[in-house]
Parts: sequence; structure tokens; C-alpha cells
Amino acid sequence: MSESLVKLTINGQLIEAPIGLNLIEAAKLIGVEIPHFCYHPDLCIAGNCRMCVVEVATLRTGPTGTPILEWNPKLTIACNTTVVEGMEVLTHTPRIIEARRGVMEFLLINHPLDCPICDQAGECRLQELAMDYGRAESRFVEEKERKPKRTLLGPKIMLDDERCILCSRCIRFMRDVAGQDCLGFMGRGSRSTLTCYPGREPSTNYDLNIVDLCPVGALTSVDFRFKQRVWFLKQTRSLCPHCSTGCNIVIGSRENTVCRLTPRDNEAVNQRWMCDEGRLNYRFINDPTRLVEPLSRMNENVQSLSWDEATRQIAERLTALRDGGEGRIAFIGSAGATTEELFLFRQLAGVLGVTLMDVVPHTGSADARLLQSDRNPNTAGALVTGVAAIPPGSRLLEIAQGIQDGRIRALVVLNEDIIPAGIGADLLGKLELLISVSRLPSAVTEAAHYLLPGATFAEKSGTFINRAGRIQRMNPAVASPGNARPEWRILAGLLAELGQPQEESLESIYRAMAQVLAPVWGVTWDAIGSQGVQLHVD
Amino acid sequence: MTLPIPIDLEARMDELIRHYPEDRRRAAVLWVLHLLQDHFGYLGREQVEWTATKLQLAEINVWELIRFYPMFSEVPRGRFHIKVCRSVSCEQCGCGSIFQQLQKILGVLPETVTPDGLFSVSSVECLAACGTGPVMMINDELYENLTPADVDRIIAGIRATGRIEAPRLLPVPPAHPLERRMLMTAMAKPGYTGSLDDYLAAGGYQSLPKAFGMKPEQTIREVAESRLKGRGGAGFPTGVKWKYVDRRSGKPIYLVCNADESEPGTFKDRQLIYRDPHLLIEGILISCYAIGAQTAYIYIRGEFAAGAEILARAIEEARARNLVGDTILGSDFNCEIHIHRGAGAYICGEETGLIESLEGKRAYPRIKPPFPAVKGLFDCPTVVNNVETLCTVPFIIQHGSEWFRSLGVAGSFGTRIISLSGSVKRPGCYEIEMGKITLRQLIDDVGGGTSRGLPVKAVIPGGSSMPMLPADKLDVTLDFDAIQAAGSMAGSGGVIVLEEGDDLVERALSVARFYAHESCGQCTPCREGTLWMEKIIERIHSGHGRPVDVDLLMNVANNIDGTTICALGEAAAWPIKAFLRHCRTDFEQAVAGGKS
Amino acid sequence: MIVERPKLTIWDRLYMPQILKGMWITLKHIPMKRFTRQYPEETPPLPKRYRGVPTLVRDPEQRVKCVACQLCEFVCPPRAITVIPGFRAETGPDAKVEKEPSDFIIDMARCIYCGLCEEACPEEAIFLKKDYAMASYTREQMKLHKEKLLELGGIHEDRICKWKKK
Repeated sequence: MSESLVKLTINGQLIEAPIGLNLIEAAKLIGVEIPHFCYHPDLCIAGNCRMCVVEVATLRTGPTGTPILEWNPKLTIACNTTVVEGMEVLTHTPRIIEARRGVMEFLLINHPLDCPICDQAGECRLQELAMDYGRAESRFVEEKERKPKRTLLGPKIMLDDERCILCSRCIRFMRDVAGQDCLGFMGRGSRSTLTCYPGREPSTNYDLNIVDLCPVGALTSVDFRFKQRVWFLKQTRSLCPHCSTGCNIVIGSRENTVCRLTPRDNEAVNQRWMCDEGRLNYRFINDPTRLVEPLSRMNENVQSLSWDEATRQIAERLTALRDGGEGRIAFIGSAGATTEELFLFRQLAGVLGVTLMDVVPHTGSADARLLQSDRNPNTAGALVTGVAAIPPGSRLLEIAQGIQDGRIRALVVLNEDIIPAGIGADLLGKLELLISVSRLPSAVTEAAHYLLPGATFAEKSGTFINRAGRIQRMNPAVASPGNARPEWRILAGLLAELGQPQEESLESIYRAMAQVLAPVWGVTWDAIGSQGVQLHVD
Repeated sequence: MTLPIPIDLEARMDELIRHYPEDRRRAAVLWVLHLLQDHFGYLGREQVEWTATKLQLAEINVWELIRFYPMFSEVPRGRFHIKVCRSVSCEQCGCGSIFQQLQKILGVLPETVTPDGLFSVSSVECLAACGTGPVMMINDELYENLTPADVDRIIAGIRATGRIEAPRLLPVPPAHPLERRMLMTAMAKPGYTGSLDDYLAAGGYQSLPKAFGMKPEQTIREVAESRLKGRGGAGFPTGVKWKYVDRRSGKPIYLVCNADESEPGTFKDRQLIYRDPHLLIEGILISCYAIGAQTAYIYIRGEFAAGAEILARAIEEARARNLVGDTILGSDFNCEIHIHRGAGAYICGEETGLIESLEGKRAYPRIKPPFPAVKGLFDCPTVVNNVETLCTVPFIIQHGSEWFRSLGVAGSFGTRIISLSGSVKRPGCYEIEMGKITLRQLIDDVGGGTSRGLPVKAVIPGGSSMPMLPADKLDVTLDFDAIQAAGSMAGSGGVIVLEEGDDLVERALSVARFYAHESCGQCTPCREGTLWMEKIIERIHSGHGRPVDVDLLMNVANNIDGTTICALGEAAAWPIKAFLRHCRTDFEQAVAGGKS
Repeated sequence: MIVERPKLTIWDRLYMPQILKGMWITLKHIPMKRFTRQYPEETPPLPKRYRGVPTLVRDPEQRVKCVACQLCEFVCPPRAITVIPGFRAETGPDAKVEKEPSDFIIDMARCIYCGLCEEACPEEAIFLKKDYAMASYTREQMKLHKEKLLELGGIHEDRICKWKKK
């Protein structure tokens, strides 16, 4: 591999970099940040912002045959310069700083004074670089150029042309990554504006990524518009639960309200993108109808219980059923639960002698990039823990049949509304005991004898194993409403009540799980980290 | 597609589309838009959508061109659309009075159509007719040497007949004793029409068979040894450019003739195209043979509509005599020459901007490397040469590089056509031997001296992109090295003379306005900086300048210089810096005499 | 060491001289100038830059100047300010301002009258005026909402008129 590396010097420091790497990435290797706007590692080079200028010297063969170092008389842009053996680069000389200050001044002279009302404030590249390279007082005393403001680019994106710095990242993304060539620059010179042909607004499942890409507040999300200032948002690393890809995300929340989801980098899973469907699917977390109290419903009498009492009663009744005969209890798990929860679920099933269990498959249409047709984030986890049948969902009919025949008297349902899945309300009515762990009310929660409020992905720690067999971690961002608690705590409590004391923290439950589940052997909680670990699953 | 397109119009479009590679139909978009605009009078949404469908493009790809190229209009213009040139040289000659006269007799503001739908007026940048300014174009015809009375007469004529009468080409005057004609010899012959027969009679198409007698490498070597430097403005050695062409890529090689003459003060390529098209064609053929190109495109500025037709006719004449097309003159060399019309953007004169425009996109210059010789038009190796450069090639092949080096001086061999304009008595094109004549001789002897007889204040020696030379540098000889040593560059050979009493700040404003208007907008310093410079000079000129503005202007120009993607940044900054360096007091006086 | 006790005289033991001395000091003050301020009939003169209750202002065109940028909320040391951002009307002269607070709550029980909010505001929308007597019977009533704050703030004579020019 050393043949594909070259040696070069950046700011006096000798480094080795792979051939083909541009200088911005090469500088990153030694922690040097070269400021830029239009460059993006996943898009083709535009080279139009002129911010990433550096001084470069290359080796040339001198008149006597010996190599001499020749400094380029003009400043070079780092994004379009690839590493060459023997190259020398300076990134922060006074001349370079002056040039960058010049570029910054040019960017700011026509930029509107919108910071107080602009959603990008706090995560705006122009603001950040203006701190480093801007002037304290403006020298521009003329009228700024006026351009259209507040234009909708489709229902999801708001465009403000005055703020646009014409870096063309959005154009390149829509054309090359999202696959819909719909954006372009109209006009010429300082009067150029970003436009979309009327009637051809962005309409892919990846449009909102241009809001992330836009270095300024020209493109903003209509969903997030004026919701909250970003510096108030707690940033929690988590995973999108919308499908089996498991895009790595950041949950932006403030005081127990989730305000938005944004993607984070993971080369192996989602690069830097996430689909719009997953991005916009967070409002259910703070839905006012969330279940908050353990409830028991016996003979029309709805009673709220404490967790201890609910756990005791449920354990008692399930034990009674177990001791009364075989095969009276069935379990329906969820491929949207975390691996630890599924592991505990399986344990619980073992303790209660339950052999009939399965999960509910959810499918939708896949797109060409990230969105998978399997809309469950942890199908692999459900298979590995043995909760899911092979193929998942194939034993639901058996369960339905069993209830119909009267063999199955009790059903424990984890986070699924099974009525659309084929176990209708009339069947549920035949059950002696229906226990539903759920977050939002549904038809099955209405019929349950015991209703235990659970937690969404944003409220707990845990892992998902994605479609490609990668185990990834999520972290809690907000607290569960009322008395709702993560499902792993509910299940651990039940197991403890049944004489199987469990570990106190999720991390230790994971450790216990990792000792038992073959694919996860040897993978520590820390090793999963923020990027996940590729497992060897079939 | 509800748009009614006549069958023959679409047939013409299909024919033009075939001039470009199969998978590059986008390149034909400017032609399609020109034809649609000529037919419908404007390019609205329907025209955009029809074009997008026709060429299999997204609508935005077509729509974004319309406001980039000023020749296109989204709304109907007058049946007779008048374009008055407002660039430096024409401003020197008083284009303002033409403008005012038009507004007076037509009674409308610029960019609006008269109520009878007949006329509309725009002010445009350089129309490459600076020697005969003030000029205006009505539709595709050019009217030169205008006075307000001429304007009255022309408009009245159109109103009476409902047609435009095409003015005739003015004859080329006989050579001045200080001229040394080579390129201009044939066109100056009385009765010369530029037809194939005339060209042959003048001794044309003799270099082509001679080139065929050499190997292509020999042809390149001949041109390289002649030390011919590009005549477009950059002055890059032509032979070196030809040598860089990647002949091993397996991809077709293209020759592009840069006929987008838009540099204010330059109007020499117009003469060559309009008066001696076959000289250019022969030059193109030889150059194609040398570099191994089988297809050549002549990118001709959209305003040269008549020139495009002249060239097209000449190409067909040549084809009829087996000089263009397959197996030229019985050899195994094939060469097709296609005309590609631009639509009014100076940035298309920049070689990679030209290539982008040829490919059917907005003319955003490319980042170099990679260079066009390796990856140019359609990602294939490409050579872009100026019209005059290509016209010189036949002479080099005919008479040899040694003969060529006998003309001119070291570093600047051969002759070149100087476009003289501004405050001189006899503006026009003069072909001189490089290095053998000084600026003073050019202005006083050849040009007849300054218009009002006053001393020269400043001379711009190479088109408005080049820094001015002050009056004490008039003894510099007209060659690349001498002018560079004097603090400017030979550029495109457009010499603009300013004399005492001329408002230098107003000229600076005109230059700044030109670059702000023509900036493509791709990179930050040029996009924002050129407009800022225009605004500062505007304030100084209109009396609202502050003392700090002079230094501010210099600082802004310095920030643009050297930080841009293409040379338009330098072209915008250098003239302003030179004006400030040499004539700072003019600016300071304008500030001091101001209202603020 | 031995502490010497002073021997008390007959006058010391009688204590009368001390009482008379004290009374004389008190009576001496009767004709002296009084500094007592009879509050609330007499209010203290406030310095020009006195920091009282923070208020929201309108500009001379009746526009609420606050655009809910939430900088004051961020800088407020005791976290007394809560801003709920909202949208301005889509049409009309205010449309270009785009953003306004749909509610703006200052908890006066928390406010320490530091004035950092006024300093941080980029729109010159929040000013500490001269009220200091802010009292109520409940904690809830100590929270001043947008309407009350605008009422306290009144019109601010705007020198810059940013939104008129934009």
C-alpha cells in the first residue's frame, strides 16, 4: 500500500498521504483546518469560493538535473490541488490570511443583515469564518443587491437568494447525488440567483440534505423554520429508526422536546446523508397522546398502577398461566425494539416456557439510495436474538390460529399494533390476558388488559443491527413523558420479579448479551462507539 | 408540446444538432435558442420547455442560459431592436448623444418597446467596431460612424419602408507608409469580395497543399520555430500550445477558433472574418492538419450574425472545391468546420469559458489544471486559437518560419493588426511590423494625431483589460516585451487613446461597468468585487466620493487581482489600478469637487 | 495576668450622667437636616442609566422590534427569559421582518436586572426602563408576558430604522 502514498510537507510538518487526496483532506490528517465553502468531500470540485487558497511549492527538475522547489507565484486553491511527492504547502501565511480576508469581505458586502432572523445562526459557516477573517467595520457604503427572499422550493425547503453565496453545492448535490437536475443559477455576475424552474421543484427523498449542505441560511428547512435556535439544542448521537439502513443521526432537542433530526457522518452506512422520510419522522416522540402510566383494564375498570404493582401482577398471572399448561402464552416482539430489549424479551420467553413468538414485518417502497423496503430498524437483531421467526412474520398466522382455537390464552405484545398485522380485535377479545407495551395509543392498547408505557428511540440507550449486519448505538436525548420507561427496564423488572435478577444499566445488559449472542462476541460497548461495528451475520 | 414549429425550422435545427457528437446534443442549445428567438421574437416558458424536450435536457439547463446571454430575451422586443454600444471607445466618440437622440425620437426608455411594437433600445457592451464609433446595431445590421442626424435618417427610413437597409462594408483604405501589410493585403485590393475565386486569385489556398506535403509534426515545428504568439490577448506561443495536445488519448482532437472578439478597443477579427473568410478557413485547415483534428468549431460572437453567414457561405464554397470535408484535395485528411454562434457574453472569449459555452452551458471558465490541450471540448484534447493567429498560419507555412522571423523583433516576430480607436483623427485597423513602430508614431503619424490636437493623456495599448500607459511612455515600440517593460501588455492589440480634457474617471467607470456586466459570477472576488468597484467609481464620478474611496478602490482592485478562477479578475483590476497609479489626481479632484 | 477593674465613681454607679448624655445626643439631632425619604410619596431620583424592569419596544411605525433571535434568552445569567419564536404576517409591511416572538416571558422573580439582554440584543428591541417596583402575590404573576412587556416598553425613537431600508 505504500506505493500509493506520497510524502509532502504541510506547514513544515512531514506527512504521508494517499495519492489523489486533495490538500484540504491532507491538511485534515494533521489537524489543520483549511477554511472553505464550496468544497464538499462527496461532491465534485467547484473551486469558486476562493477561500481555501494556500501557498504551494512543487519539485521541478532544475537546469542541472537536480530537483528544485518552485513556489507557485499565485495562491492556489487547496480543494483542486492533489498531493504530489515532495510538495510543500503553507496554509496560514500573512499573504494567505490577507487573501482570505479579501474573499470574506467580498462575500459579506452584499450579504443581508439577517442573522437575527436566520435559522442558520449558530451553525453558519459564514458567521464562523467571519469571526476569523472578517472586518470589524464594513467598508461598503453602497446599497446591497436585492434578490428574491422567502421563496418556497417545494414544500420542504425555503430559499432566500440574498443570503446565497453561490457556492453551487446544492446544484451539484441535486444533480449528482439526488438525481434530479432542477437547480441552477439565473443571471450573471453579482446578480446571479439560485433558481429552480417553476413546476420542477426538488421532489426527491433527499431534498432536505441541501439544507445541511448549504453553508449559509439560503436554504432552510420549512419543518424547522423558526422553531428553535440551534445553540439551545442538545446534540445526541442516535440512529434513525425508520428503516433497516440505520442512518446515523443527531437528535436536536431542548428540554425534552425533540426539535429536529440531522444526519451525521458514517462512511459505511449513510455517508453524510439521510432521507427526508426518516428526517421528518420525529413528531411522534412528543405527541401529546403518549402513554404515560401503567394501566390495568379489568372488566371495564381502568386503573393506573405503580410499576412495582403492575410488574407484580403481570408476573403473577403469567406464572399462573405457565404453570397451568404448555403453550398457553405467545409473544409478539418488535423488530423496532433494540437488540438488548429483544434479548431480554427472549429471556422472558424462555423463563415462561414460551416457544411461539415472532415479530411484525413492516415494508414500504425502497428508493435507489438509502431508504430500504424493510421499515424495521432491527430485523437483524430480532433474528439474531431468536425472537423473529425465519422469515420474520411467518408465525403470526400460527399465533392467530392458536388464539382462535383457544390454545393460546395470553399474548404479550411489544410495541406493535397487531390488529393490522392480522390478529383482529375479535381474536384479542378471546384472550384471557393481553399485555401491551406501547408508546402511543392504538387499537391493541385499547384492548389490552395491562398497558405498559414504553419509550421511543430518542429516550433510551440501545443498539440496532442494520441490514448489512452492522451493530450501532443510540443514546437517550429526552426523558420519557410521565412514568413511561424504556422497554429494557420494563423487561428487566419482569425478569427480576420472576426470579431472574438483571443488571442495572443498559451497558451491563449489553455485556451480558454479548457473552451469549454469537455474532456479538467480543464486541465491547465502547468498540461500537459512534460509528458502529460490522458483524458477521448471515 | 403545443408550440407550433415550422417543419423547415425544425429541419434546420436537426441539421445543426448533427454538428455535435451524438451524446452531446446539449451543445446545440444556443443555436436552437437563436432560431426560436428569431422566429418567435422572444424565449418564453414554452420555448424553454420545447428546447428542453428537443435536446433531452432539464428545463433549468435551458432556462438558466437565457438570462446569462444578453442577446436572448424572455419578453418580446421591438421588431427592430436597437443596440447602442457604450464601451470605452464608443464613449470616447460620444455614444451618449446617439442614445439621447434615440430616446428623443422614439420616446421610450431603454429596454421598453414603443407602443407600435416597432422599436426597442438597449445599451450593450463593445460591438467590436470601435474604430468607427459611435455604432449601433439594428437587429443583425451594424451602423457605424453615427451622428444624431444619421439616427434620424435611419429610423425614418425604417418607418417608411418597414425594412432595414443593410449598410455596405466600408472599403479598406490603402496602406499607410508605416504599415507592413500581410493579413490585410488581399482584403485591401479594390473590388475584393472575399469569395473563393477572389481568394484564389490573390494567391490563396497554396499553403494548404504545401502543408499536406509535410508531416503534421513538421507543420507544428514550423509554427513553433516561427515563434508566433497568440493574437487574442494572452500572447501564448502558438507552437507550444499545439505541442501540448494529447495525441495519445484515443479521443478526437478539436480545434476551436475563438471568433468571440469582445475586448473593448479591438475590432481586427471582424475585418478578417467579414472581408477575407477564406484566409481564416485555410488557417483552420492547416492547423487542424497539424494537431490532428478532424473537426473545427468557429465560435463566433452572436452579434457577428452577418459574419457567421459569410463564413458559412465560404465553407460551402470551399466544400464545393473539395477544400473542406472528406479527403481534402485528394489527401486522406478529413476536416469539418462548423459555425457556432455565441449570444453576447465577453467571458466566452476566455478559452475554457468558450468551451463551456460551446458545450451548451453557462460560460463558467473551468479550473485549470486540467488544461484544454488534455481535457477540453467534450472532455477531448482541444486547441483554442484566435482568428488572427489562425490567419497568420498560412503565411508561415507558405513562406517558412525563417521568413516569418525576418519580420518583427525578437520575442515578437511577424506582423499584427492594431485596432486604433479613441481620441485620434484616423481610427481603424493598421497592420504593423511588430517592434518597428512606436506608440507615438502610431498615434501621430498613422492615426493623424489626437482628435482635438491636445497632448495624449493616456494610452491603453492592448484592449481595455490592459493597464494604461502614461504620456511619457509613448516611445515604447509595439511589441510584447517592450510594452511589458513599460508596465502594460500588448494584449489584443486594441490601442485606445485618451487625450487631455477627457474625463478619466468617466472612462474608468466605463471600464469598471464593462467588467461588472461581463463577470460570469462564478467566483467570489470577481463577482462581488467588479460590481463594488463600479459602485465606488460611480460615486466618485457623480460627486459622492469620499477621500478614503481612492485608497479603498485600490485595495479592492488588489483583492481581486490574482485570486480569481480566470483572467477576467486581472482584466478588471489592472486597468483600475493603472488609472489610480498614473492619474490619481483625477480621482482626488473628482472627490474634492463632489457634493459629499 | 490579673485584669484591673476600674473603680466606679458615684456618678458612674448612679448612671444618670450617661442617660443624660445619650438624651442630649438624640435631642441634638432634632433641629438637624433630615435625609429620610418619605417613600412612596417621594420617589428616589433615578440615575440616567438606571436598570429597571426589562421591556420590549415598538418602533415609530408600531412594529414590534423584537425578532425572537433568542440572544437575550441565551445570555441571561439566571435564565429568566423564555422566547417562543413565531412567524410574522405573510403580507403587509411586516412580512419582510419574517420573525417575531409569539410569546416572550421574563420571570421577574429570576431577573437580576443586569442589563445583559439589552446589551446583547441586535435589534435594539429590549430596554431596561425605570420601573423597579415589580411585585405580585404569586410566582406565576411575576412572569411578564409579551403584551405586558410591550405595554411597559412603549415606542422607541429609532435612529437606524433598519427595516425601513431593507
